[in-house]
Amino acid sequence: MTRIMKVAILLAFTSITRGHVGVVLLTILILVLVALNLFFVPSLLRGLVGGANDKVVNTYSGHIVVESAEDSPLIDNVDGLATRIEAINGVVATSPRTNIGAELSYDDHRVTSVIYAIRPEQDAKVFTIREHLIEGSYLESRDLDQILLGVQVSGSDRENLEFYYRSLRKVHAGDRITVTFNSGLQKKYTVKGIVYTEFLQTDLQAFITEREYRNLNSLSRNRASSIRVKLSKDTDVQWAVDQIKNLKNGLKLTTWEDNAGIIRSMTDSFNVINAILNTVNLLVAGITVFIVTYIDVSNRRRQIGIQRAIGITPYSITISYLIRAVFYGIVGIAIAGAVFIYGVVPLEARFPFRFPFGEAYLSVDFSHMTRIGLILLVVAVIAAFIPVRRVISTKILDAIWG
Amino acid sequence: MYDIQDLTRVYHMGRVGVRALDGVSFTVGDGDMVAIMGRSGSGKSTLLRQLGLLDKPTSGKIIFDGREVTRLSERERARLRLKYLGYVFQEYALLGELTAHQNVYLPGMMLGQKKVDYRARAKELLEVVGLGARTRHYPRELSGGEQQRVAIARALINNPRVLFADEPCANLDTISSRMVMETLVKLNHEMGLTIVFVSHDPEDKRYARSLVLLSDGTIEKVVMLV
Repeated sequence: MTRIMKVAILLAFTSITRGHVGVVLLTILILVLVALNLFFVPSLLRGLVGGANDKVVNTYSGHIVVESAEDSPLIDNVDGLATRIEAINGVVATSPRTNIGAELSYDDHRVTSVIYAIRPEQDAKVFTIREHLIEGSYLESRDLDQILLGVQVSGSDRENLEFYYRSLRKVHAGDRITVTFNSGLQKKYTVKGIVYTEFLQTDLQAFITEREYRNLNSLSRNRASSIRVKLSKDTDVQWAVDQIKNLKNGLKLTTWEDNAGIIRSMTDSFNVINAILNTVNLLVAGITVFIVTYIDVSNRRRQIGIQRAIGITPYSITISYLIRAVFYGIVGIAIAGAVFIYGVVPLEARFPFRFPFGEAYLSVDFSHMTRIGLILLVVAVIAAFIPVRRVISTKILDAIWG
Repeated sequence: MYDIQDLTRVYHMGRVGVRALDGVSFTVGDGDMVAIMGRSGSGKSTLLRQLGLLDKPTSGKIIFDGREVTRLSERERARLRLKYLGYVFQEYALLGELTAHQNVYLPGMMLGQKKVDYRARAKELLEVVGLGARTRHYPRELSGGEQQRVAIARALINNPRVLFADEPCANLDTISSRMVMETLVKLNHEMGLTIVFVSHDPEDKRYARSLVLLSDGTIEKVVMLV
């Protein structure tokens, strides 16, 4: 075995170092491009899915939504429950919210929207909405007659918005709009700020303070339609759900994944697309390596015939080509990995792709890259093996003299 | 050493069968130097390839050292070639990516005999064929005659019982041809190596101890020259 390997290594080494530079570079270049493709697409989809999920958690639902499962849509003694939830290990913050159906109007334009009554300081501990202000300022607890609008509601003269033609179109911070609540109550509000989270479902919302809502409905004190819960990174969501369930009967708990809605079906589709693209890319990689090796081996047919004629075993010859394939594979994957991590990822971070739910950044997953690299190596070895076996199985004289 | 019995080789070209060898029988003794001669297309190279186990005859027997080797598997034939037979091709047939030294020691490395320093032996053999100073040169840096002598050294690396040379001087000038043939003679005389060579040049029979003359795939005559 040792002598077979020694001969194979000598043949592989000399053919790499003394072989046609163009063929060596072309083979490595092809593998670099294939590997880059295999790294790029899943990273983009992963970045896309991760970004969308983050938006769901950080701007829309929090990690867990606690609601009333009883006849009343409101949770009673919400302050007490929120305090007990915050005492659970891994819970970072809670924010009670009450949603109110309403119609908003400005000039001739009307929009139906959900208005959330929130405690701004507490809400800002669960959500990052405050960081997405594009006009005006965020709500404060004492605010009355003030409203915070999502940009898809205000329009704000941004004609490129997805829902611009269904928005109030030209509303900016400081403008006064009319809100007609489902109860029939109508009131004028000053737009305190406008947020643009780039997550469509959040940007279609509006917010007032809980204090303002208490003025409208005195029965709402210490009650809310939901409590949004933020967890620390390493806390298992399902475990936290079970802990909260134990606190009180008559609660309905949903996770951010349950609330992801369209995003969830989108991520499922992305995972399928990802799997299909990976399979196709690996097939393309295999066929490419096969073709390059086939042409190379065909050009070396005579050399292989001579090697066999002087007594070099088919094993040694085959292994020498497999070593070459592994070498090309490792070099190609290493170059592709370096180009991807130090070139493509920083470049994409500077000029990110934009989607309706925000910017998508390439997500580097080293375990995934290693897995892809190993699969690509195996594919390269198999693709090299087939043409070599074909030439090896021809008669020596046919190999030498054609 | 070699007992060739009624050897026939038919090549099929479409529906047509061409008899390259037709009932050839002769023997090769230990330490002999046999010249196989004949006109172009007489079957010289075909006969040598059968003896060198590079091709299989259609019928007949090849007996090497009392053992029939005609129908051995490719693996066994490769082992016999590696251990007992050396082959020098008409067109040098060196591996272009290896140096002269590597070309020579490669079959030695493959055989992997214990206590044999194939690298040192390759250098010795290159000295024997007069190329001791050219060990690190690649084939394209050597003349045709030098390449052919490297091929001879390579054929000798595993101490073969027989050396086959298929028109070793066909592509060489007169001086290089003489050097190559004299190298073969030296190996036969000084090392007692059995050599079977093919040549189309009648003058080359002066190097041989016996002559096999082929005509249209059959033996016209076998002559003992010394």
